[in-house]
Amino acid sequence: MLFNSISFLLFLPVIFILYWFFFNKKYKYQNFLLLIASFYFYACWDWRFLLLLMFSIALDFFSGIQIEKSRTGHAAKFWLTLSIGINLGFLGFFKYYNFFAESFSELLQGFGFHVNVTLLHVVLPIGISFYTFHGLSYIIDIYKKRIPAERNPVDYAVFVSYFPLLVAGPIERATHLLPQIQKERVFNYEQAVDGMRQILWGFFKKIVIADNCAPVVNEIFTHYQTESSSNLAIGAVLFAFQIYGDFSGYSDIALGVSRLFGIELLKNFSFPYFSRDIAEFWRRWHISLSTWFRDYLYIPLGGSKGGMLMKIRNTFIIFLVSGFWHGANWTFVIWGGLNAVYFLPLLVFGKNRENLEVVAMNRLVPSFREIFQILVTFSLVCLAWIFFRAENVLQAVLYIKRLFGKSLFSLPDPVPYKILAFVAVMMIIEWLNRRKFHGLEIRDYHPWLRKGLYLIIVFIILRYANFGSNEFIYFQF
Amino acid sequence: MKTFIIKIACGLLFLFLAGYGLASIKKYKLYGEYFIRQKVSYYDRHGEKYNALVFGSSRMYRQVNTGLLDSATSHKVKAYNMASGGTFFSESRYEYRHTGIHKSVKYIFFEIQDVQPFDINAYTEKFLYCHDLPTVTFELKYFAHNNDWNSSFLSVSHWFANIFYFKKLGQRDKTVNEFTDYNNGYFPLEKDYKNMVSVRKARSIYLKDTTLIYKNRIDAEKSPKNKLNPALVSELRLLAEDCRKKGIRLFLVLPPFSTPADLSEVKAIPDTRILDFSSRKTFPDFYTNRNAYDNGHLNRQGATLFTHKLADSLNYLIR
Repeated sequence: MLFNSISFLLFLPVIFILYWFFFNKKYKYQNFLLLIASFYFYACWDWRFLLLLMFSIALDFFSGIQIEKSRTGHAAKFWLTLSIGINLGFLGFFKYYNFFAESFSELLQGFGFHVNVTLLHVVLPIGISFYTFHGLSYIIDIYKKRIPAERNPVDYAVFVSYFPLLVAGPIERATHLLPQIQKERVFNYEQAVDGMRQILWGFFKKIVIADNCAPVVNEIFTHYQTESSSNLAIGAVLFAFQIYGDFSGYSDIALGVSRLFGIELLKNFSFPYFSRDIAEFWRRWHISLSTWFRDYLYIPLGGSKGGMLMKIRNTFIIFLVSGFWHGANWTFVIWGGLNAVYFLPLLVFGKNRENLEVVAMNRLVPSFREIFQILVTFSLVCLAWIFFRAENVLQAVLYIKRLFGKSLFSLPDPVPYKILAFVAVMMIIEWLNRRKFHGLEIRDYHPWLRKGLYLIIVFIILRYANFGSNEFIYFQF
Repeated sequence: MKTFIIKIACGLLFLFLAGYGLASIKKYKLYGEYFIRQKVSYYDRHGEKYNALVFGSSRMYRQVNTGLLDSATSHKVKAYNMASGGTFFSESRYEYRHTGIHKSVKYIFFEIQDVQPFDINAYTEKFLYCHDLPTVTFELKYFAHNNDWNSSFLSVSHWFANIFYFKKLGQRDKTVNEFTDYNNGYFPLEKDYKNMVSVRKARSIYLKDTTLIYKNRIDAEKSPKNKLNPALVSELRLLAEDCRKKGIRLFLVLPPFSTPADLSEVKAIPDTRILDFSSRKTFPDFYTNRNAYDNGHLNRQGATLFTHKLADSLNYLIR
């Protein structure tokens, strides 16, 4: 079930009403409802993979208890290894098997050996990267004695499979989400209204921005060999907004929907395109994944406690693994590597924690220096996105080669005025609210201004949205 | 909680009313179905030269050669083919309601067909446009008779979607094909497909097997003929009444490949003639490899044959 589908528009109010009017006697009833709803939500896509999700839940639930019960560190380690091994095994099997098999075959071919590898013809279970990471964080936290093992299977299953975040995050932590699941929830008007605002803003970003950018981007990336440099540039820029609208839009809808049920999820985006350097960008983009890698990979690897070489090594590992997490293709690995290269000078010169505050904190307009920094950062990000979007490395390289042609500074043909106008609307609204939790947190606006803004956004969605598409890009990860 | 739900409901109601109001003042109602809109628009401009109109699905569009009908009836019937592929009765009826029928029109040929809203249509503009209140009222009666609650739900959701579908407000006339003024609105199936894909590919898509065509028809005719849905009959009655007021003779047509039906109730509608070509036994020539394009349509040669038979009936009926 997609958030931008008619079925979800029916599903959500039904669950909302059941949750607050029929299952509201005890939070356990509400959890049970959320679990059934989440399984149904997932099964709408493919019920067979629901079994895989259930198995993953059961494995981690059981392993968690065993780790806690273990009297020796050796036994705890065994259960931890078993759980991580099986979880990553599934992820590797469904997501990376073909990639490794093909890469291995190509490598051998390079040495003159011809090997026929058997490739799998299976669909990648939707959201597997997300729910696997939920489970891993839970298991590792128990092993590290940060949290106790959950004894209620329903509560744990809701934590992993909670439908707003099930298929594309944000990647939650047991320390944050489980306590909310384990207590009474009271309907909070302000929270619900702001949740609705966030849903509205998420839909705007998804079906107005991302889905309108998508056809233009697809056209340009498909015919990149014949497009002018300026068209290629606009293609890269629009893809930057497409992926932002798509993913942050999904996150906004997820967070907003969850707030309707009285549950706060982790913030996943914090206006990343207003970043002044790459380090700031990565503190604002896919925050739940970045912090996950920080806590469960970067710090265990030694973090920044060692010398400069260790810091550089760990940073590269994080970015490369992050790239690989996004997809089984060398393009994603290079995308991660490129971001690491961008990050390197900041790390070496100790500037990676310079821009911690929101840009132009107490001003409406940024300084020229800030504008310049934002534009440079955005250009670097766009350049890296080309690898993320390209079908293969060769396409990305040729795209970039053609991008820096003579016609780079000419007008694109045609200029996608309408889409650029929508992007401008989004960026202006987000700029005005960049200090807030989300782009449409306008509770302190004058009521008439607020209502007017709602109307304009709803009208733009109904009038200009691209309804005829389009799965969320991040579902594939 | 109460305030929250009331506010959401008020917001939706406001949008609903806005959508309803904006849709009612919109000039072009036939958004989303460019082909039908182009035909209606063409007929608006050139309608005075025609004295007959053909409404229905691809079985009329692809099978009634209106140019040939003109000569085969010694120019007594000068028809324009308003029919379009992939449509059902609801759409044809909606198209009829939104066609400014010229005073010159003396005959209307209207296909008797069923109504089937598909799930897939809920995600497209196709089929959405015709779901105004009269269409939905009719469809609810139609599906209620069949105890088809899923389709009833789809029909109502199409109506809702139509109201909230603000995109229609911005649609302009757009030429998507050149067939509207070709041969008075008629276009044979294979010629269309020749432009899109190779004939070989088209034929591989549409299984064409005489044995199977015969088998399907025999199966269809084995069981006793079903009565037409009462909602459909009463809608046809209203159509006949409207035609009578306008001084138009209505011919209800069951073209080749339609499912044979018990038409006794339709026969009772005054001032209406039925032209039933659905029987394989009566019209075996239509169901041959030579004349069929696929398992649901005639090819150009079959359409010529059918049009001649239609003309023969007309020559007799309007003599």
